[in-house]
Amino acid sequence: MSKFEDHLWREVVRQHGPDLEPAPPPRAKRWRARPRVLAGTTLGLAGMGAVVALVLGAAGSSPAFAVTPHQDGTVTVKILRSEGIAPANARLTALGVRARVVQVATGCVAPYALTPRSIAAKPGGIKWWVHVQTRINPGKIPAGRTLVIAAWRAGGRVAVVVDRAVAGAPPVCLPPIPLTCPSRVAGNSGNSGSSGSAPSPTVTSGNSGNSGNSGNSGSGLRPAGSNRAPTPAHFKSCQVVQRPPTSGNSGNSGNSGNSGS
Amino acid sequence: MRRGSSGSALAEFEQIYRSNVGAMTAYFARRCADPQTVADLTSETIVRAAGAFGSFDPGRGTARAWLFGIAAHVYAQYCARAANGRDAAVRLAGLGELPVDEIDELADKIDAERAGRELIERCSQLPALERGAVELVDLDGLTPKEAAVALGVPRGVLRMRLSRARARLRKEHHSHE
Repeated sequence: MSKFEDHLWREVVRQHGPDLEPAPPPRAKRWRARPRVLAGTTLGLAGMGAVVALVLGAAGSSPAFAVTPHQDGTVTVKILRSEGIAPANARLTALGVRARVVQVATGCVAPYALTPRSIAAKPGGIKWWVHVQTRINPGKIPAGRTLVIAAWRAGGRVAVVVDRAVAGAPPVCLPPIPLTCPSRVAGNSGNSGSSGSAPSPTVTSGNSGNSGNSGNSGSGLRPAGSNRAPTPAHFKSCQVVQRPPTSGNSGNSGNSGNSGS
Repeated sequence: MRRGSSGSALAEFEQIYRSNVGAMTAYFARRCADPQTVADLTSETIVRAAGAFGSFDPGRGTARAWLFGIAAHVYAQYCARAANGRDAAVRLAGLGELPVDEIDELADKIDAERAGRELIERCSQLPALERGAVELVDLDGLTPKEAAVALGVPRGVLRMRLSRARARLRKEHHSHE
């Protein structure tokens, strides 16, 4: 190979070796033949020699993120651990993709709130809508804007969801926000943190008012008469309003909720 | 049929890389006269292939056809970006500006592909699919089957377009004589 081709290969392995790393074996299979698998792995690693060394040298440990460009121009972003956010952003920049993964953090002060789609961005919150990866189309990001992908820890994983395309520099963090649906709450202030007229175990577990975040419960966020948890489609007409918890009675731990009927 | 064991993915990809990177570089050298651009487009193709290697299925076509499909897409995007006046090539972060000896190497390759570049220019009047068929089969050395995979068309259509394109080029050549 030429010098250029050798140079290119070294860089590909250094920057993208983790993408080619073998996936961890399924957990269910691991316990069945534990001694054999361990022995086999040791021998296998010894046998694989320099190739494995290259991957481990590049990654140091299991990859904390995956940014995968596809043939159709779209890019999949997956964050496996919070430490993967910065390198994922570096990779997106290297690929020329105007998108940035931004961590949702309690206490963060940002110039804007999340969109309704990001409602699940409440620490310890709703778990029925957790995405561990998202696929974006860089070609559809408006010129001069950067697509913000919100990332937060959820159930031992890091969930990601596309937020919005912002002009100028994207925020360094995003706050977990209280959410209300103004059009659905007319005249009804809720008992904070407690369930509304259509309680759902799934929703109330994340909105019980104990986690320092205001909750959303009640029929305003779900089909009337349904006991099913709301789906993302239910939030399409819901506007996010960031406001102090003034309405209603305070609930557990001083957090307000919004329940509509 | 899926790729072999994921445990040797890097080794498999390295083998594919070493077998095809020369052809990839030549592919871009026939289309661009700037060594840095050739380097950037080649690296972009390889990076995309590395990212998508998990979904590569040898049962659907050879690795060479798969790589040429990616290269064609990368080049089309490069042309679109260039037409819009945007930064045309995406640079692999660590690759940076090429050292002089690598630029010389690529310049030699670009020079060696002069005849191919002329043929590509002659093909510019052909419909896109016919042009792609001639370029991939007659210049890049893919089999018609591989070219069909790379262009995403049925094999019969590729053969028909290839035959038609060759006939047109022959006719044009005779008319110039």
